[in-house]
Amino acid sequence: MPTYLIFIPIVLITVGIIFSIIMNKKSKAHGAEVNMDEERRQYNHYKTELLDEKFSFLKKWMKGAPIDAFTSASIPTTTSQKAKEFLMDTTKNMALSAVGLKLNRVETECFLVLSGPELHFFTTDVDGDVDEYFVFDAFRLEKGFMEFKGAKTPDLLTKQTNSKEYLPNIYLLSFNLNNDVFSLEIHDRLKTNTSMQEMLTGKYFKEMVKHQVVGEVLVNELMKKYNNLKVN
Amino acid sequence: MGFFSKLLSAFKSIRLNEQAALHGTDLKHVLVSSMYAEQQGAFLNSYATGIANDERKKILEEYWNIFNKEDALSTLDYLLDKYHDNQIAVLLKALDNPNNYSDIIKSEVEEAELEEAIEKFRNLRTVINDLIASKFISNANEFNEIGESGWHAGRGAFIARLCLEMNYITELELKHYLQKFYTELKKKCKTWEDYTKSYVLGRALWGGSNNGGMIVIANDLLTNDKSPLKNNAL
Repeated sequence: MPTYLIFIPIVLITVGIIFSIIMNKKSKAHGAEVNMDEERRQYNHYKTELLDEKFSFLKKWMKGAPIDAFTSASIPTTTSQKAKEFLMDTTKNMALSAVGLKLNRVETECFLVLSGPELHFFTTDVDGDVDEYFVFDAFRLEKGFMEFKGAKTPDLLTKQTNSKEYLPNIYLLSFNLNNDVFSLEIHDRLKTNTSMQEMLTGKYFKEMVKHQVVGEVLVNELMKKYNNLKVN
Repeated sequence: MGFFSKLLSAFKSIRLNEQAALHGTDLKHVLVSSMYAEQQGAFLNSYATGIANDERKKILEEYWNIFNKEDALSTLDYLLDKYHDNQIAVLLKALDNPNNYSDIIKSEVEEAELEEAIEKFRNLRTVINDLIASKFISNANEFNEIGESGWHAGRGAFIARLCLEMNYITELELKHYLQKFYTELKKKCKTWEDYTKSYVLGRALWGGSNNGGMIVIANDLLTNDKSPLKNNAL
């Protein structure tokens, strides 16, 4: 193997880190200019736009059911570990079976949709298609509990670039299932999957704000509907 | 039609006992067990089920925890008592109110029965669209009058027949229970079609799978020229 090939990944990683640092600085500068109150007044417009374009798949997945609010979600590491333990333990496996969740994929994107009194939870596979789907009905939500966990734990790259602005705040929604606690992380914004063109033209920041304005509504609506889920 | 429906359809048969066939009122009473009997490949028209002894033991012991006379009587009385359960009206009302179904069920079902009602409601929502799509029913309100009566009666009557064969109950006791299940069923179902619908509904509410297969059985019982249900009014 030619020696110069060794340098290719090093160069790519370095460029990536430098790019992230530049974007992070731009984000800070842009953040100072954004009037979030003004942006929040555009909620209905942004929600419609995102559902018609980037997140149109949610309408398909919901099969015509109303989408009152939607956001990104994730499965906490402890839950994914628990899921693995459950799968190995026949007795405990009953708990997850009871809600119909297998959670065999925890690293891919997840979404939550609030529709009437119900919370629809979707996990996706590596192709972005629905992997697991479960509806938390009113009875389950009435017995759930929620806590604010702060910014999502950054991964290695975001740690290096110190770009906490890119990380969503997390609300941990938990349920007791057969004497075990099962949890999901609700993000206070939609994950921004930005194209390179958006990155280069500066549209990225506008998109990021839009995703935050739309995503943050779900957890607020959930707390309005269910007193037991209110977080100070 | 799904794979299991096709499979069932391929093997479906109306099994009749030529040697000990019942007639008249006795036949009507025993036909209350027909959905369960047809599912198990048992005779429809006699007290004898024609089921192998090990299969009979398996049904009674593994599925119903019936090992003796006391267990048998207690189970049959429990199924008779289930007739007084009027949850279906509440569940259908909740189904019509997707934004406050929880409040409706919690306010109209007694605390002791709440968990059961919630599970039934979840099952109802899961199956109702399939039952309508398959044209088994035209809308959920068809269940309002008949409820789960066929499910309770059908299981009770068939279990009673098995219990007779295991000598857990006498023939007199069997006749007593069959008459009771029939009388209670008649209070809610006017036709055998009502009976089959309420049987499928009840089974679905209790989380039974493969409803498509049960619909095939129901249609066979109602339309097959050999079927006593087709040739005798409820």
